Amino acid sequence: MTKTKRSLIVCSLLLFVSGVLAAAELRLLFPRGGEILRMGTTVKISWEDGGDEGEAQIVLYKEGRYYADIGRAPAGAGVYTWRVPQGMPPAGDYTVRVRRGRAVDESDLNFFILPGAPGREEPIASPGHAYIPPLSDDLVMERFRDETGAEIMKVRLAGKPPAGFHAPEAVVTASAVLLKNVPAYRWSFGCSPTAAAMIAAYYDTHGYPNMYTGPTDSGYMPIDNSVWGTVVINGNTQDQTPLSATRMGLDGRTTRGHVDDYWIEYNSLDPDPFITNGWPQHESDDCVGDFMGSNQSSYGACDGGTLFQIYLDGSRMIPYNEREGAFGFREFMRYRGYPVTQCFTQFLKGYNGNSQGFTFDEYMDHINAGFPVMIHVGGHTMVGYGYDASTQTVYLHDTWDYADHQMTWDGTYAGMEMWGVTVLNLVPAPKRNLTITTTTGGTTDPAPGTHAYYISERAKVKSVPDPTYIFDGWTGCVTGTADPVAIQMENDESVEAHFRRILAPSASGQKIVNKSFSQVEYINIISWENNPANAGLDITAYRLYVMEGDSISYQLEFGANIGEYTHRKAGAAPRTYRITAVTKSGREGVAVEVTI
Amino acid sequence: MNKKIWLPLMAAMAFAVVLIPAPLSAAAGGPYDSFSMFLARAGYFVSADSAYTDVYNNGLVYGAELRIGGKKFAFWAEGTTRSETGSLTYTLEKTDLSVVSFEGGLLYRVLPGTLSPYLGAGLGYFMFQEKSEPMGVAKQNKIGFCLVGGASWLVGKGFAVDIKLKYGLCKMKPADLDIEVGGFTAGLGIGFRF
Repeated sequence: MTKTKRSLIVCSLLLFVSGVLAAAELRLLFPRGGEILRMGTTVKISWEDGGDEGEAQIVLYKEGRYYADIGRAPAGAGVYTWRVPQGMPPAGDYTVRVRRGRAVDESDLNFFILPGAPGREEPIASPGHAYIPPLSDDLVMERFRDETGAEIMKVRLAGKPPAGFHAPEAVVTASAVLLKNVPAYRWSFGCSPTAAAMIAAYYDTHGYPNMYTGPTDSGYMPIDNSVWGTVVINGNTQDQTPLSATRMGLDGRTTRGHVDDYWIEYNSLDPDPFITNGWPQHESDDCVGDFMGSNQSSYGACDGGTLFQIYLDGSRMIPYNEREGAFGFREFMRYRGYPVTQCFTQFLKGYNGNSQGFTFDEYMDHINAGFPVMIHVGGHTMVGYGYDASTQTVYLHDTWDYADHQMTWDGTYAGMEMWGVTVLNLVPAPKRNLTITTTTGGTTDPAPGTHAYYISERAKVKSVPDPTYIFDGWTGCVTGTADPVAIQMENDESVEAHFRRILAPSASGQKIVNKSFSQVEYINIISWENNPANAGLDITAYRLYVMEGDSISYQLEFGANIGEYTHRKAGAAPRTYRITAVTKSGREGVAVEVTI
Repeated sequence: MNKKIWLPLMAAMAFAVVLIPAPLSAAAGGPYDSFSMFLARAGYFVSADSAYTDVYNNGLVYGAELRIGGKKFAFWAEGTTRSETGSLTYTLEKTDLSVVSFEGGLLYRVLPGTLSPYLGAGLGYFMFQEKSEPMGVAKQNKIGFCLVGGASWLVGKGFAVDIKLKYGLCKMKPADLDIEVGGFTAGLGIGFRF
């Protein structure tokens, strides 16, 4: 190597190392990605900068390409106050890059730049602190102060999806914590009463059976509201749920209900039908939408809308004597005979810069305690029933379909930002024990042992037979072969799952030589017969496996009336076959081997 | 067809046509001295392989023969074909067989005259093919040999009737089994002399 070449290599290495060191000196703190910046507001772009020479250049990128210069700041300043210009393309594909000399850093992910609320100046978002922008003015009905001077905001929520809208379904992770069997109902005369109906329906089947006492499913709220179908009112098709909105003719009702008295059409603020028609209002007793003031013009709610009151500073808004969502939800519970231990509506921590709002940790606590939570996003209410702590994921039912969905805590759902929750906890319901045992040959779901269920809750037990066994029935508090079986837990109960082995058929085989003048084919003929010990097992098929060495090369299935298989071109070498009996339910028994 | 068998056969026939007639027939001058004739043949074939009849029946063969010779000797060349439909031994599924053979050699006239018995020997080229749905196609071409004996009735100046017994042998293995394609053929030929 020449001296010149060696010098070049050393210089390159020095340049590379100095570049790396310089880059390590600068770290962008805000915006890192995922934030929403509003046009017309002022934000502080911040970074850590160990250098003291030159000046930092801040550049805005869109879709990864240069979009505009934001400004310049002296070395070591670490912050640049930027007023987000009006008229920018609203999008979620912006990043910021800060460069000083060769030291550079940029947003890890894209952030949003969206139109700001007109005429409102937002506070400056702080570095490292999730900032949730204020609700848009069209959702805010009123601002006033309570007797302590704390400011209360009254919002109207009436979220309804665009026609045909379906959010992506949730991907439930292994580390997810979910409340099981939380019903999913489609929008039934308001998102908030539909969400409240889902929560009440969950309680109805988990120890609080008086939530719903109608004729459907013997008084149990179903897992979805398809059983009640739809109704067309003023040309609009509406799904129905009597728990959120009663109606004459629905679920056996013979008198006017919520829909008859309050509903005209979505978003209507006209006086309710019972007012314009002069008929007496129905008695409220079994409809959570009645209590929440949903759709009721008397309380300022448009059709599809429900009002909620909330402290602007992020503290808990415990409902007082004012007809609104949380108040009505709590009153409904009390009316149905269940004491409420906690009920409040609260902004998320970070909303409008508050530091005492509701947190993801608190949300997890409520889920862990068995209480679903109302999730408020934009002008819409949904039901959160689970979480994944590792990713701050919220699992939810969005009132728009029967699927499971998810969102990130304090993120957006269907373009709407999450801003608050309504929480309602009940006095824990008493429980009864179900003891599950099994015979040899299988287990159950839930596993054998003693499990606690709420009084009147329907415990579902499913048999899980081992390979070559079949479930043969229940004994104990239930009998028969229904699987899974539902056990209504009025008292302590016990149940045993019985399993029976599916025995192998008897089998034999022979090798036949089939010849032409110059060619020969070896044919294996395998015959089998039912094992009499399998009587009563409803054997509907036999499955035959052809072995190739240690592996199964292929399988064939035959009806129960067939007892022979002719394997053409089987070859002269010995070959092994396995035959199993298969039941109507698809359970496969012990195999018999035949070598021919 | 394989050139190896055609070339010697064609050369032998050319030699017979050009050279043999002079010393063996025309030069002799008698009315029955010429043993040259063309015959259309039919016969009945009996296989030399006992396994053959497990699958196929013995049956008819067809062919044509060109014989060129004189008072004592003649060259002969013959092509025959036979095809059979049989049944596989266990499943009884249909199987088809065809054998096309080209044979040729030298004949010796034992007694020249109107009724002229003869003996002979030669080589044969046997083209074997067997086909069935479950087993597919098996085929092979191979050279065997044959012995013949018979008698020709020379009727008038230009007509001939010939009976011939032929025994051909050709072992081959076109697929799984060793087989004997040849066998015994008793045939009748009718043709014209020249």
